[in-house]
Amino acid sequence: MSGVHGPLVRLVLAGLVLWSLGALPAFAQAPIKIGNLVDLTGPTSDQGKDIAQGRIDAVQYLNERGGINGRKIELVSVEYGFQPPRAVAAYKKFVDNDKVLLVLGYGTPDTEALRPYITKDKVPYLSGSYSGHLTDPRQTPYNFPGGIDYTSQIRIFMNYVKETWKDTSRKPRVAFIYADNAYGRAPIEAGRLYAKEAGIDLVDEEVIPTVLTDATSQLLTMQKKDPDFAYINTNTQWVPVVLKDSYKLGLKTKYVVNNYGLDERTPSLAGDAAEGAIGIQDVAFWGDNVPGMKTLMDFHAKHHGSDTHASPYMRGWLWVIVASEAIKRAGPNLTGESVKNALESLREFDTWGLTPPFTYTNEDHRPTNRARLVQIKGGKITLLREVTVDRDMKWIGK
Amino acid sequence: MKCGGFRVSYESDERMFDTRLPVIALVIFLVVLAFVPRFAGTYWLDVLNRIGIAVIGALGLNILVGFTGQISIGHAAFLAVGAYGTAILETNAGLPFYVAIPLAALLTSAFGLVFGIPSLRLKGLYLAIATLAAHFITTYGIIHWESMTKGVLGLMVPPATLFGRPLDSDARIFYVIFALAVPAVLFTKNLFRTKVGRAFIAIRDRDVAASVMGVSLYRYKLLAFVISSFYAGVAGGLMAHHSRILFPDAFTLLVAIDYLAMIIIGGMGSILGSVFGAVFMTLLPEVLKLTATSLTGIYPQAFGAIASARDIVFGLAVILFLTFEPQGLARIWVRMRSYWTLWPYSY
Repeated sequence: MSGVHGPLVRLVLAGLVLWSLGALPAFAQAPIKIGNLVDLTGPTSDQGKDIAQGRIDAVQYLNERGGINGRKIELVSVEYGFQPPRAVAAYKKFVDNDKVLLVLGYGTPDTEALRPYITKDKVPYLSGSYSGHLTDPRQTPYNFPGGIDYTSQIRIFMNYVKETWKDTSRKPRVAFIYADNAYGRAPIEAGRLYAKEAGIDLVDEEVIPTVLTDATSQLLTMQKKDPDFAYINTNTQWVPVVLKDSYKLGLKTKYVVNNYGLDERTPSLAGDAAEGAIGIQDVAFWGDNVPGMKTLMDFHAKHHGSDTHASPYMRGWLWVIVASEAIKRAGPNLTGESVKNALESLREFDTWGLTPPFTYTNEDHRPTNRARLVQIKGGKITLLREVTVDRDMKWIGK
Repeated sequence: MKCGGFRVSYESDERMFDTRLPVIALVIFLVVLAFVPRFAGTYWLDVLNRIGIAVIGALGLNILVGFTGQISIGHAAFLAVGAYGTAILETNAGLPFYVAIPLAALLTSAFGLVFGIPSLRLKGLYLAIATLAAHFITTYGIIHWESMTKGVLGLMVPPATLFGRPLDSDARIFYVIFALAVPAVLFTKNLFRTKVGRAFIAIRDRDVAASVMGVSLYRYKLLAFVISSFYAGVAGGLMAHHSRILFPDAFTLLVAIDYLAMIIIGGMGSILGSVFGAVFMTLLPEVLKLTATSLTGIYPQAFGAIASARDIVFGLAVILFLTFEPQGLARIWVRMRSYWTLWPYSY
């Protein structure tokens, strides 16, 4: 009997061994899914197009190098037109349908709206929103703003005002100009408090529509209050509207713009009106002399060298780099919690030099307290100085 | 042998269902629906819930536009009043949701009454522009009345509680939505078997003739606005509990256009059409999104192009419907059904 069955059994066994050999790597290679939420059609598409491209490129780059711990990454991309309700639907799809490990989020209105869900579902959420409201792990343990928070930025602005103010006869006067959405308003409350603390006169606040075609009426009101400095908190494609209208009206106010409002595209968008405008820079500009830039530019040249990109493209790469480092550190046991803990283990993590080093702790989700001040001079962006703002726990979550 | 619409009494002419088959089919459908939350994941439940809400909203708009002929692009505003009304009544006055939603719907009706007044003088495009004003006034109010609505920052709505259990998941809110959507459909169906419904249709077909026949234009036009906005109020209240966060951005003019598209694609002046339109307009973006996502899984570099192609496909679908089947999905359904019932002698 055994003579008949022997070869058959051996064949089956061999088959099983072969199958398991084939199956094991296949199991190990099940891709890690990451949600990718972007706006390509809404009012922040100036950022979204490059952010999406940066994330897609960075993932492809990592996958070409064997992925993370031998597993490929799969981006599940959804475009939501900067509409919070659509982001909520996309989030439900990410978590329930795609079972993503982590989400690369996008804007402030949607990220802030999703806070309760994110905390409940324990999904690490690395957002393009740097809202200060996302920085307190006691309230939002799974939210990780992907850059220096807006509250730190508005403090940097006022520190800059104080440092450059030489007139001792009066206090400097400042104004805030911000977009009428959760993003524009995110740092304003903290800004008011900090102005008081810093001994700066906040003389005016102008709210501008998210999609801005004309800022003349707001600027005329602001002109009456005659601020020395104004802080603009909106997007790169709308800031030139403010700058141009201000130039047309001949205002003397000096403008400081937050990280999403001024980048290498501003000089060509605003022309002479951009002259002297100061920007807070969170991430390297295209072609900056930082260690990771060559990798990015080589990858870009190889795959789609004909198009051009601005700093949001670097942000796309940055967040994939940070996320992949956390996933790598989390090891084989990949859960939302382990990735969150891994993110909180980042200490002075080098983001290929694209930003100042990142540190998240379980007490503070502000990734960094450093940024650069840049100024547009002669149609070119020039580095003014590097700035640091202290990690005062008072401002956390604000 | 009786065949087709063979009716010999007023009673049979008035019947909601000609044969027993649709009744059985409907009961089976409702039973299946009741068990859906056991099997469906959050994502598809979310989609189903949005369909349920859209059905109520579309019915309301169809009563006004499809049945009474009063064009309105203020529907998003009415939804917003219902949604914010519900949320504010619950958070500020501490009312339970089953009191807050009807109250908010009544409030929306009052709102609809006010903005329906121009319909007494205006028709067609002129009325559309007047309702557009309603839309802008409402959104301005929501954005700037921050003490109540929290403006652009968004208003959080705590989960509704029923018998001490929070309705905090899509599965639980599902039952609330469908417990309102099903009666909404039946009520509308009934409405057009009454004097009021017939008055609406008479006004749509020829308002002068209707008034000569003794239909009070003043009363019935306003009543159409009141009923329509009551539906919108209920749909809005459910939206508040479904998304649990309200933004002015959730009620843009595009939402009003979407609802108009629903009843046009589904079928103007058709109850079944409102349902079909709501299903179609909610599912189409999801299907396109899923296709786009799976395609970008294969061609990640094409994400941008695919994401924008979605909007083009959407627009194209609407244009094609308007061109080739102006009477909408409801008409296609009737044609399909009669083809099979009359087969092989379809004449």
